[in-house]
Amino acid sequence: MKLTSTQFLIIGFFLVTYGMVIPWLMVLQVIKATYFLSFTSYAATFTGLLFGTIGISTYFRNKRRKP
Amino acid sequence: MAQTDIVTVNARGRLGRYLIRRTLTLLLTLAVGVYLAVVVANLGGYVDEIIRANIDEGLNAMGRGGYFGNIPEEDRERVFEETRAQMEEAAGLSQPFLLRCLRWTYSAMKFEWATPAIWDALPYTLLLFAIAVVILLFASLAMSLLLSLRYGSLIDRLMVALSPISAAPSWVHGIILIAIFASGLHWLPWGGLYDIEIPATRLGYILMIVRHMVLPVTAIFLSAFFTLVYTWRTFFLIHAEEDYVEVARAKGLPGRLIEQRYILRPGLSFVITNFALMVLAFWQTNIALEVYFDWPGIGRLYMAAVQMRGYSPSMVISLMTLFAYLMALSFFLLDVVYVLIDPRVGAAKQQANLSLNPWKGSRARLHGMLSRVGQVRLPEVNFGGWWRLMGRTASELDLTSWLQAMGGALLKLDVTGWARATGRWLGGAWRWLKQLRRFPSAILGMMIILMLLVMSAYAMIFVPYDQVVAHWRLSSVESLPEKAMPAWTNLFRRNKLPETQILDTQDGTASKQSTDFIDGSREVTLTYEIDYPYTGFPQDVVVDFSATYEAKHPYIVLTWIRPDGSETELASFTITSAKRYLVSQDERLVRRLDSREPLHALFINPEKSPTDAEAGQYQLRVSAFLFEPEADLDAKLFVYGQVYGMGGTDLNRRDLWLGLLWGAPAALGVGLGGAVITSVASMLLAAVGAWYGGWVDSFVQRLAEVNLTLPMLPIGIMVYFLLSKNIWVILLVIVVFTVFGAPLKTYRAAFLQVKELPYIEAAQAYGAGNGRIIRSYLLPRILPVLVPQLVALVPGFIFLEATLAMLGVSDLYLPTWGKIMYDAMINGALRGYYYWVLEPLVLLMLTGVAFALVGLALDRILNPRLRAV
Repeated sequence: MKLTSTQFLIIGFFLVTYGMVIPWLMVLQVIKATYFLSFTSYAATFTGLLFGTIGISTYFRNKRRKP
Repeated sequence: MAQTDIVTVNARGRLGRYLIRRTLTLLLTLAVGVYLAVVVANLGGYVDEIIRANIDEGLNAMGRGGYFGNIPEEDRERVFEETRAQMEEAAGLSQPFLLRCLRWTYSAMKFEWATPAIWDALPYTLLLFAIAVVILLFASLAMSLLLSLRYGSLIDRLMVALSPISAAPSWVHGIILIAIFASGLHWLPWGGLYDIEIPATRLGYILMIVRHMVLPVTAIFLSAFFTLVYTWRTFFLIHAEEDYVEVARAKGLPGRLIEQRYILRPGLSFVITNFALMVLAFWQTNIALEVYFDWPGIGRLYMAAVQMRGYSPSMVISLMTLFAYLMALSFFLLDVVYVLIDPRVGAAKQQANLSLNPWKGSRARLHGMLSRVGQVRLPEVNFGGWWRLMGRTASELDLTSWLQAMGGALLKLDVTGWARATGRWLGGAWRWLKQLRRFPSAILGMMIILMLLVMSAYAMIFVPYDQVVAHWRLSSVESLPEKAMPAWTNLFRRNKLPETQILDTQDGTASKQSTDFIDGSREVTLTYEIDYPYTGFPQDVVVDFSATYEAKHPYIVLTWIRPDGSETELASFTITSAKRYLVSQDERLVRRLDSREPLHALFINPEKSPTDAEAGQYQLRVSAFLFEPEADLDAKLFVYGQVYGMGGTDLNRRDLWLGLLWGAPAALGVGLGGAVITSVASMLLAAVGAWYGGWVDSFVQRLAEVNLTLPMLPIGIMVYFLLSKNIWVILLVIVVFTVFGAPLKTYRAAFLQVKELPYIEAAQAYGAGNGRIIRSYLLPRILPVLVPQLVALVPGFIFLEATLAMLGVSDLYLPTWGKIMYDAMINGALRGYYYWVLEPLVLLMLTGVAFALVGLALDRILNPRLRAV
């Protein structure tokens, strides 16, 4: 595993933020709802969540092992 | 180039090739999936209609553009038709059906038929999805980590006890939330996106959307939270105690290395797959959720497109393709993340190994995903762990031998052997039940299942199917009150609500006196004594007359007598042979009572209480004047109460108890039937695939992968509205989809291991044929897996039937719990008639939870790793 737990968490946070903000902007009609934006938003949310899961799990394990 | 750089470049190349291969595979499976959907949609020629409509539109545009203007009038029609024929030819309408569908598949995959409405609706669904799953992720992880640190505490036990709640799909939780927070407490809006007044500021607009999102997001959260917490907490508890971790520690490896290589690397894939399952389940259940929360996303749009008069095939196919794309994209991203966690997944050697041992690596992890894709919701079960440990555990419980004996005898159709095996089976089942006795939750679950079985037996014996169907098909049951609560609710009231009273002169519950006159006429007096010990008002007072006469109509005078003896003339009129008089709808009476509500005027005694009815003995006197010697009159009085029977009544005055009773065999039938057919068919397919291997196995596996990307629920709904109104056909379609889901992968993995055992080799050596080996040696060996797998599938099918019914996809005649809830929801049951929707909902939840409880207990019995936690 090349990425550390913190890196996973940071990347996951940005991806999820993108995935949440884009639908909001589309719903508020700030930007036009498009095929591309919708799919990238879903992909970002999904990947961000998986990264977040990995990051939190890894972080917890590392912390728990330290005496 | 240094050696390490070469290794890195090679590894990246392998990963790149792996991801390209996965992309192509997914695109291919997606294309096959969409093709199948298009074929189904076009069975009624609906897709061809899209093309013809497009061609007509093009021809109209050409006409408006003057294309046919220069053609002489007499030739114009002919040229028009020739042009149409050429365009249809060019569009492929003259090609054979299957080939034509291939062309449409390409168009569907390019979203050529997608309308802007789809792209406008998608962000709303994505918004709901993103917010719900982010909250769910953090809450579940935080709680599971907390519980893993406080194992055995009160909160830990509480969470474990609550875990079966998440077996119910999100719309079930949604209805409960609406009933409490929207309808009951009025704290939150229960649906839609907008308030009556649209806020002027953007912040106000955002807050309005947030308020409308609270309930649907909470429903999604509740439908997954407890299961995720239970699964992850168990994972965190047991994963660090594996033998190989101890070995690594004994070898003196650094702690951080042990964590990363021996604990997280094998364990993380489980955690993220588990979470991905939950995410993918969202796409199966969001249709019902959006419909009931009136959320303007693609789920609601899909139902609108399917139910639209005239049907919108282009919209339906585009949305189905969109669902398939989203699911395929999820699988691809999951593959990418697997590679990031464990780069070995992309390695070629590992791939070869994967095809032999499906419990390892990326595709192996995907097997579990099927358990959510295939069903609306299934309880979390670690099938991999089960199977690995099955041999030892099963032998401890003597499961293998009794199931082998039972299965073997059944498969051979050997009656004597079957009888012997039944004896052993009963003995084995008893030992097995004794194991279940250790778990109070399992006992509770089995008691509920027993109660449902008793209910089903009672329904089938004492309430014949024909009777219940006839009752349910009536537009109105006149003898029952409308929307009356169950009678047992009176047990919890100080002031009891009135029950229905029916008094009839023909059955002797009302008196009838007759006086003959010289001229041949008669006066008949019907007297109804009404014992009314209530302070609430009845729904209505109705008299059904039944008169016999030849020419002269009888004349009637109705008089109401209160407990204090005061009288009020209600009405006087002549009647035909049959007439119904309703006090509440008598406008002349209302005028005579100075516009007061008639029932209030008749039951209130202002001197005692200006608002409540007066309890006491009332009387209705019907004086009828009959002008012919042979004329006669009878009448039946209905004092409709506000409570009725065990289940209450609905809008059509139908007795809900009958529907609730028959809902039990329907639910158990669908749940157990679906689970049994799925399990047996999956097991057979897996056995054949695993034994023959080669193209047979590849074909079965490819079908299973196509099944991954198919949105099962939308396809089932489409089939119902397009091809068949028979719910059993739809359920069969879904069962076929499920056969290629999780169970197939589970059994195949098990068969691949059994196939390598020495006794199979011995059977081959003595010349046993393929059929005999599969029938006599492979299948009986795997039967121990069948029971827990089957139990795990049952709630999924029960909730599936209810979900379909809630979307209007149900049997036309048989009342089911889902159908009762559907009727209740579309008739505003949550505006004061909670019992109507909550009764079937509670029974549905109880059934799902009961099977989930037994499933969880089985999981703990059969998986020794879980016994300690």
